[in-house]
Amino acid sequence: MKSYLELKNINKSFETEKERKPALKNINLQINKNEFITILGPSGCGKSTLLKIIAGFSRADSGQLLKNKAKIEKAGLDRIMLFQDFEQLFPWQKVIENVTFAVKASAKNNNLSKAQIKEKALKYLNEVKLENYQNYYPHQLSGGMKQRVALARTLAAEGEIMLMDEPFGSVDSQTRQELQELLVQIWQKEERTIIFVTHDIREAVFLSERIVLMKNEPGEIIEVVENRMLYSRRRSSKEFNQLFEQLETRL
Amino acid sequence: MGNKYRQRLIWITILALIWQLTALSGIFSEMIFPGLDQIFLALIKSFKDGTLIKQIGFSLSIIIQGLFLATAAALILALTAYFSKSAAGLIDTLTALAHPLPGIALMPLILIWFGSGRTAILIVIIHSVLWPLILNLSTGFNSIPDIYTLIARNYRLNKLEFMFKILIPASLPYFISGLKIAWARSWRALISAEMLFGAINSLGGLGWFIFQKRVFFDLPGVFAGIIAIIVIGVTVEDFIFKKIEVKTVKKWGMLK
Amino acid sequence: MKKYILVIIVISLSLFIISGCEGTEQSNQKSITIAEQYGLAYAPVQLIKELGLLNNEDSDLKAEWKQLSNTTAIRESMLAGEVDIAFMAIPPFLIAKDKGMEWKIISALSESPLGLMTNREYIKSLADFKAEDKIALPQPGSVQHILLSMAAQRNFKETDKFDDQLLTMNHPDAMNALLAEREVSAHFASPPYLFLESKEAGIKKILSGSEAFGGDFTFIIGVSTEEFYQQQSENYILFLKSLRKAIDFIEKNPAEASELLADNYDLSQTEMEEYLTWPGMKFTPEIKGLQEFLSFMTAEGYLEKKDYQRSDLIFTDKKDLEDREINKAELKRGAAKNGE
Repeated sequence: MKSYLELKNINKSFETEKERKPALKNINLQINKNEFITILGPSGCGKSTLLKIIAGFSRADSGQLLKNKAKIEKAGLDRIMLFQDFEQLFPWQKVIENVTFAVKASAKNNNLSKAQIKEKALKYLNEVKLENYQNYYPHQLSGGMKQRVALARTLAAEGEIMLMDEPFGSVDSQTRQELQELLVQIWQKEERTIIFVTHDIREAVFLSERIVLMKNEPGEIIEVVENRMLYSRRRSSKEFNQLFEQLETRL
Repeated sequence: MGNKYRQRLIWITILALIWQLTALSGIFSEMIFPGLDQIFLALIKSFKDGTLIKQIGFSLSIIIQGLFLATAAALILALTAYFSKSAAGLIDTLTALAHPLPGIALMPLILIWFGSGRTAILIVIIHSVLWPLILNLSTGFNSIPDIYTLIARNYRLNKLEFMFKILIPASLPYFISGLKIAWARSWRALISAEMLFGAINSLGGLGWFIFQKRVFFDLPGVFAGIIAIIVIGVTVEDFIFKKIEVKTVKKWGMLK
Repeated sequence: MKKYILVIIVISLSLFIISGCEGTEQSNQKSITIAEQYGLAYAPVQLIKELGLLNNEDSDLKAEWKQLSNTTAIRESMLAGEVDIAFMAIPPFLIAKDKGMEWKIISALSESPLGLMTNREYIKSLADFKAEDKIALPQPGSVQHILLSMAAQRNFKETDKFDDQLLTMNHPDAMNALLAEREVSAHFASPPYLFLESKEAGIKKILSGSEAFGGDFTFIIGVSTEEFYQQQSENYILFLKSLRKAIDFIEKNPAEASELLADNYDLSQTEMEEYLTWPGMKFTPEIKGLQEFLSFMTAEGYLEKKDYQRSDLIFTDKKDLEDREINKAELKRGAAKNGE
């Protein structure tokens, strides 16, 4: 497989009052096109920081970020972030408008008609199974539904890479499992690369093809584990639990 | 909500009754304490001969103009302050200096610079509206969630798009409450300015109406003017602003 | 319902307490409050103060001088019982009288030249005013306003011809605006503003007070409330005497009066004397023109009631009052004798 997104020797530290605290040390990672990869680690291991660097929200102190061998420095529509925070939706826009926001942003240069924009937005709302809620305002939806709208918006930008920063971290476990299943279905249908940050081992095992294990202080990659289980995965299967235990001991 | 208005109605009725009884009892002379019948006769008379309508029209036209100009200026200044640190310093300093200053205190200066006509009143209104609006807008702009700025960068919005698609709608609750303060302040400033500046007879506002009644020693007329001021104030605050809130921030769940 | 009644009781109680606080201050019998205003026509009032005329005669009496900015404010404080004696022109007095205020004229104070001053070259008479020419005067219903209406009636048969061009301004502001040649084209001025303006180049008088009125008239009168007249007649007489003395003093010794008053008006003594003796300036207790004001203002709808008797408007003369006082004193003496 040809390397698509490449992280080379990335280092990042934060200035605190007393000292300079390294957050990421020597991160080297190659991500393949259309891959579903999770970055798994305890809180404070710098996995979110790493995701922000990939998104272009934050700059690495040293090291390089390459996509198809080209340097990336700024945030862009090819790497859309899905946040954990419910606030990421705009409360003054209806569900459908929140999604068309992304369609419009990504289609800035190729004139789409209003109908085409709406059609596209509806397609993605359909994928997250919320087409019946298009005229609701975000505050009228449950947390899980809000994250589905946000997911639809992220999809609607039609960027090649989707970055997800613990997007299901704030919903109850039942809903989380539903959302995970939905995400896998969508990933299988759409051609997208997903980089998914989580501290939940089961989530990583359920979702991704590869799992990047990270450790605390300084944030370093310990190991990259291949997960060859077939989709759709069953949480009660023997394989699932074996991998879970294997990862748990590593962390 | 209905309960609030019923309570109000009950109290207004009771207070009106007490007023009327006091007036009828003759404790105070009619000149100091006119009965409601006289006040309403004066009100009806002023409405019929068209003076009150004309004065209300004048007051409202000037206040709407003032609010519009001040809002536009406040938006431009607050946005400039949001995007430029050095401008923010200047605007912040100006606001801190000018905000606590009642417009009426500026009257001598305004008289010298702008004369005593419509422009002067407009300046007083703009002064009383501009600073609280800038304060509220700036607070609103600075308290939008960080996530919105990240989204704006992520979706490659330019500054204009960011302003109109995110910044302004996201700070709408602050904007509206700023407008409410602005309205209350400008309404007060308007009436006092009209009373103080003096005006051209044919072109005076409600403040002038009261002043004129006062000069001709017509106390029921003064009360009629006061009632008109109250009714307009309450209508705008309780109905127009409430309606705007219901149609926007309340509907969006941005305001409980 | 019970709750409402309770709230009302609490509120009325608190109002009662508030009004009670004010009431205690006013019991001082031996005091007289006089409202003063700035202007040359009020010179005798200033002189009463300068000569200490009120204190000489009765050292017990506490005279309080109140500075109020305009006639309307003075009328209102009289209505509130805070001022006993005030000075103003005849029309504002009549307007309040007509609305039921219980007050009368004590005496005239002065006659004075008044003038409609303009800074526009093309204005040579009232007929030259264009619709956009603004005329500054103290307020609607002021003597200046009534005089302008009288002139408009006489020349154009149209009392309210200039009413849409009036700009309400106090004299100092109006003078500044006139000199700055901005916003106002004319100012209906009284002394000292009239004198100051007439000295300026480019400003001329197009109408005098007596031309507008059609003769001489009293500019400023002294007024007092019925209540003060009835309940404190001694003080009333004392004040009346002082006022007459002061008027007499100015008319007989303008030089000495000028020396006493110059500081008060922030003028040099020579200027002061020049102003006090300016043609048309006259200090006299004789009331002139009351009937003319009355009939004009009634005819033009400024006043509603008709048929005012002279005794409705002017307090009984000093002499009668003094006689009454003497009678009272004699009665008292008689009563005291009987008691022995």
